[in-house]
Amino acid sequence: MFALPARDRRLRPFPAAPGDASRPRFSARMLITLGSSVAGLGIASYLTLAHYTSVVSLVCPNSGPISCDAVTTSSESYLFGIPVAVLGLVYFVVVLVFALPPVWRARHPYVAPARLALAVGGIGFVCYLLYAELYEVGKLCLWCTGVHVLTLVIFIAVVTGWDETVAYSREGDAAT
Amino acid sequence: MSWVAVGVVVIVVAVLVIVKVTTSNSSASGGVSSGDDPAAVPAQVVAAITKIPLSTFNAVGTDGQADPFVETKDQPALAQDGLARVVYVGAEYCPYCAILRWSLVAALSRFGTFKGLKETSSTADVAPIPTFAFLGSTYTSKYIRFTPYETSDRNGAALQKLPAKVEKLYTTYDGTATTATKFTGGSQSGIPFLDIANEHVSSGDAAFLDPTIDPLAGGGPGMLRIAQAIAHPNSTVAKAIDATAFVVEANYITAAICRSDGGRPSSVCATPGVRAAAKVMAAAKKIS
Repeated sequence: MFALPARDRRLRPFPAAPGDASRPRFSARMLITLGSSVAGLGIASYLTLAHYTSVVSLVCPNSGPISCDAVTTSSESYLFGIPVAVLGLVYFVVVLVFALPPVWRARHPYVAPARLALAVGGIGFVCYLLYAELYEVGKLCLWCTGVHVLTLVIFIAVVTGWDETVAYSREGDAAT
Repeated sequence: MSWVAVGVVVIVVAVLVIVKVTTSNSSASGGVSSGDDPAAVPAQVVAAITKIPLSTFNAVGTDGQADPFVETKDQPALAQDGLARVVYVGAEYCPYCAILRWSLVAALSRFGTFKGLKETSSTADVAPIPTFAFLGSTYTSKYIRFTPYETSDRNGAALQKLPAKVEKLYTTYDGTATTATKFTGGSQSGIPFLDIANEHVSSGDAAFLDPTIDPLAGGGPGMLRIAQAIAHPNSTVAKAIDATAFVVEANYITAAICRSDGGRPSSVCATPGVRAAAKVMAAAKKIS
């Protein structure tokens, strides 16, 4: 009954777009993902070093359900002939690249989906590794658990920040 | 929607942990079955003894102990399905067999998988040694075939009758409790008998395993702590039960299999601990 004329409807402001111009250059999720990637890369490097050298051994208690030795020397420590430690190292290098602020704000349409795929793939692999530790090896590796927690943090940051990352890419598109 | 995905992951992780914790609590007794109907070995025990760290095998090597096998030559091949065959003959009452089974399970698990292992102990007449029962278990491997026989139960009653071919192996390479053969050198005749592809045979237990019997008599620290001690032989419990000896025996059994199956898999056979044992075996005099 009181419908606005078409001309007035055009005057109404559009809802704020996710890629609003006030978006900060650095977001909390961006920094959390970056920090977790750096920490994950550090632990994965340590695990890889311990895997390939006898000079470096993991500082880890071997009591009760905890045994890094049992986990990292088990047959489950390889996947398709590749040490899981190396897979973790490669994973965190790639995630770190995708977590860098310039890449986070990249205009490329595939960056955000690729980051999401990495996060989902990473947490899926963590679930498998957790299963292997608990049910195949029967021991937990504290350093591996550290990597798993960091992967979960990255997963949460990326998945719950999907709108944000898409907005960043749209913002970039608008700027071009 | 995104928080739903996070929730799903958290639920999956929680289910994995909760199921593991509840099943472990209900099965990990760590004790020794005293009945004649053995219970399944708790998963933690199986995990500990079948997944001994490679670093443990390598660090222990032979520990300076002598080859427990008699090395043979020019013997007929002992194979099944085209694979090297491992024959074990023992008895459930036998304490030396109980000791050997720890190393045997550890070594064979490097080539394949046991299912349905039960926990038991040697005869209750004297202090029982906690161990595994092979009867009712299965072993699968793509490298070897394993055929265990227990001739008597814990009370000494007849249990499994040896097939004629196995009986012949036993009398040829082990003799009997009173009759030695050239392969036994007139000593240590009797069970446990181990024949790996007719290339490595042993009768009786290895002398270096004897010191493990007293600490385990009566149950020792329990199945779980024994398994963990063997996996990590530098621990206090391990030193108390001389756990290193079990690892030495496992390395020798592993090396014997590797020398009989063409060195497969290399991830096992090319490791320092196994190679150390194989080196000792290669230097031993062979009996034909």
